[in-house]
Amino acid sequence: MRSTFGQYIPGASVLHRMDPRVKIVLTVLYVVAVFLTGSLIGYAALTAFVLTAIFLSRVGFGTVMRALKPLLFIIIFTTVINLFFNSTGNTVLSWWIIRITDAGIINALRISYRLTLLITGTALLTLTTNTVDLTDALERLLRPMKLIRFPVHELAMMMTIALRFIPTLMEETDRIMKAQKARGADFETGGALKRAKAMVPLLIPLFVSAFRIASDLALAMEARCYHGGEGRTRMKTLRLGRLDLWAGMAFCVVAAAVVCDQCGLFAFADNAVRGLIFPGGAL
Amino acid sequence: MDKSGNVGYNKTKTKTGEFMDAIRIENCTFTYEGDTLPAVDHVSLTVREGEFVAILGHNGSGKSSLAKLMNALETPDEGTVTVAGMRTDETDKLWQIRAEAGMVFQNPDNQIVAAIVEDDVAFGPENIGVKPAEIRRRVDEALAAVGMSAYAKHAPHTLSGGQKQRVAIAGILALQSRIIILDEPTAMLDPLGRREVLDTIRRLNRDDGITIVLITHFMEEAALADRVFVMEDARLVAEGTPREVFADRDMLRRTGLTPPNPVRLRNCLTDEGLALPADAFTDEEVIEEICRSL
Repeated sequence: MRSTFGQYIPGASVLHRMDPRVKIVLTVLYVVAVFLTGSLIGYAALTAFVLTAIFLSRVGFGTVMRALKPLLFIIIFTTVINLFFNSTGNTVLSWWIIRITDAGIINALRISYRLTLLITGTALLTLTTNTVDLTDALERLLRPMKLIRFPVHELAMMMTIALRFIPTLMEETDRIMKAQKARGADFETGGALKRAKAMVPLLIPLFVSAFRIASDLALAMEARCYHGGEGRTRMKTLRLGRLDLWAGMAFCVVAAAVVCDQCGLFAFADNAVRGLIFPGGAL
Repeated sequence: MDKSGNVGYNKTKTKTGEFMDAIRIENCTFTYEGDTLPAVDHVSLTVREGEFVAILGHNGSGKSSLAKLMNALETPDEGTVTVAGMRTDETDKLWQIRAEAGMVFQNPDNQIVAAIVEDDVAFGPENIGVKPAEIRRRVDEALAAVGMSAYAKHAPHTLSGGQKQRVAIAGILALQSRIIILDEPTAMLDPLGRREVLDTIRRLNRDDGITIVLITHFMEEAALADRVFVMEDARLVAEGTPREVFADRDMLRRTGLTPPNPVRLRNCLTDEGLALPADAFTDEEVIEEICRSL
């Protein structure tokens, strides 16, 4: 099954209709919250938040979970590392050079769950926001950076053009590939090195063609009065709506829970739960 | 401004009471940097407003360079180019000139900037700082004018060549250009796409009075124009109505241009001794002339 990470699933759900700027900001804050929290209460709050978001996005639980696929290896790897190479806490299992401690188990669970939350939350952003809106929102959010001469408009324009020309360059690659095959080029057989070498007659014409397209496009942009970001307006304006307010408030509640938790306000509840899992009372 | 308060220059009369020329090229010479031979050599021509002119010529005849002179993408080394009363060497008028005289290029793919059709049409007006609500209105109007409203939210790479060129034309209409310069817009299109584009520009010319400069090497397309200019080796070698230009067999032979099929048939029959008038050039006219002479 193909991974859905970074993909956009068209729809008209509450999440799709939110202002992309709000979605980006909330995602960033959410990532911070995920890294900040270390307790069960914090994780529960964030899990509730992300599950609600998945439900509201209407892209399907399975779709969101499939986003985990390319990062599954990293999750397993960090989990294993944490499980085996933790020397603090009480030993639960000991065999040969391996010693698994209860602190190790807790850490491993924590890390893998943290990564899962991180990936599903950020995947939701790209699943419900198309790349054009994402670029637009980024340009607007980064606008204050202009004060320190950061080329915000140029960067956004480059991203827009890159996105626009991906399919064009794919077609071009296909065309060149066919042309080279017609001349007897072989892209499919041989070892890795041979196949890498076979790419040269594909890449060079592709580069030449990319430069030609760039020069054509620059001329066409100039002909349509393009002269940088100075004095430029945009057709699509972003306006904050009621949806964005609600999303913001919902996140505030979650963030408040995480912060209170970090300050130790919910320590009693946390201890009670841990007491249930580890009656020995290791932590 | 005329009595109705319209500021469009096409309604404006000069002090002498004549209508202003859309494009006036006076004795222009232009050489690309690093080249020894000029790409445009002492060319003078005038395009009146509301007119549909075609510039014919082979590859390398200088017709594309002439197009670039017409909207200040290049400025002449000698002579002057005036677009809607503004000289192209006045740098402060640059954006006004380019908004007045829009340009459609040959390759439909390499002139579309945005990843959504309506965003691309909005690109021009965004560049000159038009207010968002006004851009929205212009974009909707422009897409309707080229019959592409249904594709407003589509990605450009899913469109056919002819549709892409119509989007490019809409992008110029959204700038409210009164002049459209098309540099071989149909060269990379299939016959259907070619027809779509030609029908669109004829309609814009006829119904909205937009001045059209069509650069092409297809004689059939030039036959649609009010006037035809023929370029050869950087020089202007002929000008006149399509009827006049296609009647000049010596010039056509010299420049190596192939006349439209009815003209070729007429020429062959004349060579075989059939007495036909020398200026018939449409299918209907030639058929009629042949029937009459038989």
